Amino acid sequence: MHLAVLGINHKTAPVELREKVSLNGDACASLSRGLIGESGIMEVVPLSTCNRTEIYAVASRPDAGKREIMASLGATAGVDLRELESCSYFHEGEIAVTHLYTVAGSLDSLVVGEAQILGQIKEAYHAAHENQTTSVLLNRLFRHALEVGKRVRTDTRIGENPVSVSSVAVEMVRKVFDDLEGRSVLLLGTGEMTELTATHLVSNGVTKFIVSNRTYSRAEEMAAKLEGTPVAFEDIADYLPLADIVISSTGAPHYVLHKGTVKKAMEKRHNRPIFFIDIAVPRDIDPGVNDVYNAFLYDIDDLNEVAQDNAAAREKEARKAEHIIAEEVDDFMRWHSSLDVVPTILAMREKAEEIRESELAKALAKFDSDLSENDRSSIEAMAAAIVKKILHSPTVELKKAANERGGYLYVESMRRMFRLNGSAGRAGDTGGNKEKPVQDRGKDEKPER
Amino acid sequence: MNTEKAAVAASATTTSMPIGKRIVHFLVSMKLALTLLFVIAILCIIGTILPQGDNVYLTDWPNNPLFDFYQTLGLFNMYYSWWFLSILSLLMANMLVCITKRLPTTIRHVVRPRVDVKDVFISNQPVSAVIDGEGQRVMKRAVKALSGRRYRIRTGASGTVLGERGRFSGVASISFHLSFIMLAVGALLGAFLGFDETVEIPDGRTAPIPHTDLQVKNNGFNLETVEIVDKGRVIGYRPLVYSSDLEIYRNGELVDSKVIEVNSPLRLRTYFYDLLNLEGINFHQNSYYRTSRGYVTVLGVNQLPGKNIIYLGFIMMMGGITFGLYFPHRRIWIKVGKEGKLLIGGRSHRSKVSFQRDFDQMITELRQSPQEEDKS
Amino acid sequence: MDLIKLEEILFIAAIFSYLVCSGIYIWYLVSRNRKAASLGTALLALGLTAHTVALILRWITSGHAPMANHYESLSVFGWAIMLFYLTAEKFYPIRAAGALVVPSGFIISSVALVFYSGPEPLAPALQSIWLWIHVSIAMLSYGLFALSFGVGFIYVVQEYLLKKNYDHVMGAFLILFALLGLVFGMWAGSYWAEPARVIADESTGAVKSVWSGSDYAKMFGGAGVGLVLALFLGYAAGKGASRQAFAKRLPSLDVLDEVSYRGIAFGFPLLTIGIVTGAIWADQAWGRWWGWDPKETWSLITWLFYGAYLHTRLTMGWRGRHSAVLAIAGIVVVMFTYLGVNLFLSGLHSYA
Repeated sequence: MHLAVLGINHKTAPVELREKVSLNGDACASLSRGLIGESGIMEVVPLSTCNRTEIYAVASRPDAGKREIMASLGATAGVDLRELESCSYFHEGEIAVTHLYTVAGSLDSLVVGEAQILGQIKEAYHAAHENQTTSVLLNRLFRHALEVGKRVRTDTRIGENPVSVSSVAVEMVRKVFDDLEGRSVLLLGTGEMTELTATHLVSNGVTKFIVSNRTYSRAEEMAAKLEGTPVAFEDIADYLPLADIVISSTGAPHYVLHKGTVKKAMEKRHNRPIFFIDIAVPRDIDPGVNDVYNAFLYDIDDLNEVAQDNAAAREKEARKAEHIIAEEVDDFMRWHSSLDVVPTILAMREKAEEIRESELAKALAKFDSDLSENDRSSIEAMAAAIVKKILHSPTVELKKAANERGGYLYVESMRRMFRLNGSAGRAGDTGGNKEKPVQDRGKDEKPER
Repeated sequence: MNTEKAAVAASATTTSMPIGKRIVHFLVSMKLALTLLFVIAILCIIGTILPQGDNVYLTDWPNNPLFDFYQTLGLFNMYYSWWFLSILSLLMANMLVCITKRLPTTIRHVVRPRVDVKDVFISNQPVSAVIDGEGQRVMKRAVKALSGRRYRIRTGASGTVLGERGRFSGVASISFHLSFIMLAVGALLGAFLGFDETVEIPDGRTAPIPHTDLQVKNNGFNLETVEIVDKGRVIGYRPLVYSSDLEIYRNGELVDSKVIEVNSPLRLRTYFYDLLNLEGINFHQNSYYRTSRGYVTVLGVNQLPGKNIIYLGFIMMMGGITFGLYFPHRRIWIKVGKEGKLLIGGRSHRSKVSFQRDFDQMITELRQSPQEEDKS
Repeated sequence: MDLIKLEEILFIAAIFSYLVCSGIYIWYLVSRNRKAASLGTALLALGLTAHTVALILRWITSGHAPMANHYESLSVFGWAIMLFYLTAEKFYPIRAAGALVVPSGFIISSVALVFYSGPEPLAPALQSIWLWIHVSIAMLSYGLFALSFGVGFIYVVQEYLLKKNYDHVMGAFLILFALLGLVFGMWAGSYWAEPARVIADESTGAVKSVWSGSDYAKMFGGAGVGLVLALFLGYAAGKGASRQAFAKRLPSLDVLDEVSYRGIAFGFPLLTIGIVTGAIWADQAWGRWWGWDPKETWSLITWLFYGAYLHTRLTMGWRGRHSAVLAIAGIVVVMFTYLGVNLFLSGLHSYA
């Protein structure tokens, strides 16, 4: 039985192709049902997000699944097979396992360390499971992959260093204010970045927004979106004392907020801290504002610097994650190889031979030298024949089962019944029925979808 | 939004006032209090560096040509000099004014707290939230959550609920500040009506007590010592216990007697219900020294009318500061708003971050489990 | 089992665990290793338990509260710092501040070891129930002020970091390390000094140390070495901390501000009670509740200082760096009241 993955992702395929190949739940289900049974394909799990579409499959013949899967995917998505082939990758065995674990650990994501992918894998697996296109091998593989993804998130800090400017801004704001709930935010300008940062703030509990823009109608629009208050641009100095956080991104060619204005506002605020985020180029806020007591100013350069630091930190954590993944792949492969038919048969025979030899030696020792050479050899022949005959039908059945769906069940039960070692391992443990929900930790990440 | 703007504008500046008014303003201000605290601290530091009282005669200072001038200034008796006491008095006066200014608000907080408030008042509190859902029902749970947090609940005429904790924080603070007045009064009573003398009585002798018609007899001084060893060498003796057996006489008649030790003085009460401690006289074993003819007990004898006022001051001081700082005044208003949503908001006088955390936790609880609570 | 020996062993074990904890807390700040975090807390709790048992044993073997000499009161001081730090850590996410507070507690406790002496009988003036009430409450307040100082320092660093003012970060580290190095070096130097001890006051049995030139040389030599070493360390620490990435490891300003304030808000009433119980005791022993003795005066100065801190905060709305700087300066006043008065000024409290 052979494990393989065929897929395209953001590294191998342009977005136009990814869009076409992207499959919704129903498409996934019908595709996998169609594949099962064809040319020895026994298990299928499709995984499709906006950055990747991958088909994990278990087939009886090596490489046999590749053509069928490719064809089926091409047909479902309606793309040219040659185009698909040139943009896709195909991994087998250990490399396929490593690939899935790397995806689960979000190392293969566009934004390394993002949290969504784990949930997406979980969904894809559950859909396939319900669709009954999975069995022993993929069940175990995907459950283990979820565990691996979780372990990467808990054992490394890969998800803790935001790299986008807007989430870095929120991260730094939280170094001033412990809790963002109930804080007021003043937005100057209504650009895309402002909105993105505001969204991050909302997910951190901010509810009070004051929106201002040179064009009042735009301020009204944005205020309606954020359930905030629009104010006239000329009045911002009056509203400054009310704001704990100010985000500025107007297209003004000169400073919009001066040190003096902020100083006056601080007096009225009784020196409660205020955090300025200036994402405009050229800058909106006088850099001197940073010198005002309890006023903190981050411009786009500052934020980029932090983001780069964070990216470097993520790289470092990614190395740690790779170690974890390598470990877990080894674990899984140990379990997987134990399920091969040939070594199982060999192990079975070995065990039987051992028993035969030791029992024979015991029996022969009792006769001492009373037996003739002839007697001795006929006894030996009898023992050998018993062993051979007993083992014959299990061997045949195992070989047959190897090419059937769910054949691993036979192998595993055989291993258990004969107490052949090597069938357990960490990968085996995690494949049990205990299933914990996978938590999505980072909330300020760009989703893969 | 307009009300918020008005609130900001209302914090007017004081720079435009006439000079005289500004001086008065300064005299009753916190700035003066802080300046005085600072000045007193600096003077205290100087006082610990310069020898004070009789100690100055153990130093070279009396040989200084300007010594008499310094003495007149009170440099060597600083803590009792007219200017030091004036500064203390100024601080007391400033404090009294500050307390008086705050008193009406403090009393109103306790006696008639503001329960009925407008919607906008709640949403303008330092911490506030709006909870969706059926207002009245959530209100019940909110009240339960508040009383679970040991808030005292009051319901106003309009159905607004006020939860309060640490209501007496302000009163406690005032009691703390008033305690200094008590100490000052007690100290003044002691200084003008009482006395504090040192009487030295050799073993077995009798001596008269100044300011009174009493005599005290030292029936025996007792001393137990232990060796002080430093690097294997005995360098002296450390007293373990010393005591004097005293008998107090008035016109040859025995009034009282006791074996006194450092921490166990003889307290002579003229009459039992001397609430202000007007006539109690205390005999303390202050110290001792040795002469060629034996030990001499150094007795501290004092009469401090007003001591009970001082002790009352101590209690007010300790209680006031403890209650004032450990139990900050926290208020949370809850009201069903115009759209049927629940408005909730509040403020804490101190420890604002932990108040906010507590508040957030409560809001999360209120938002989360309406079904469970309804079942129970 | 010899209880005196056991107490000494437990105390040394506690100090050793504080040393290791200091290392772990600093390591946590550098690596943000989660295991280091929980290990540090667990070990600190263990050390604190050993310390507590040592104090109880000292109480039993000496027959009086362990607050009668420098060794005992310093030990209680160090104990209080650790206790309050652990308490604060339970309620606020301020583990990063532990990298400063825990070493401070370690230094205080190890200085106690320098002054180590066996159980001694109490001087007559100290034989009172007020001894442990007065001293323990004062020491608890000092412990809280020390916590406020440590957290206040982290506040200042964090604020400079968030303002990207790296020169000031470096300055803050250099000043802090210079102070710590001076004090610690001075103590280490005096450990080697061997001043002659003579009786200062026969009636109280107070002992005075007479310092010779070579003793002073040792003390100031120690201070000099400590200063130089500390400046190097401070420079390295300042360099390492001067990055935005470091700001992310420190708690938020809000939390630091509040913990530093709460340390003082809890410490000030204790200091008040400590001073008042001292006054009551003095009234009982000498018949006067206030006598402008240097220790009394300095405790008043400390009290005025923190009183001013509270007023600036509660009525004038000070917050942030100004308050934090006051909390830092406060510990200097506290340390002078606690140790400086005994070293440089004479008075009724010079028993040790």
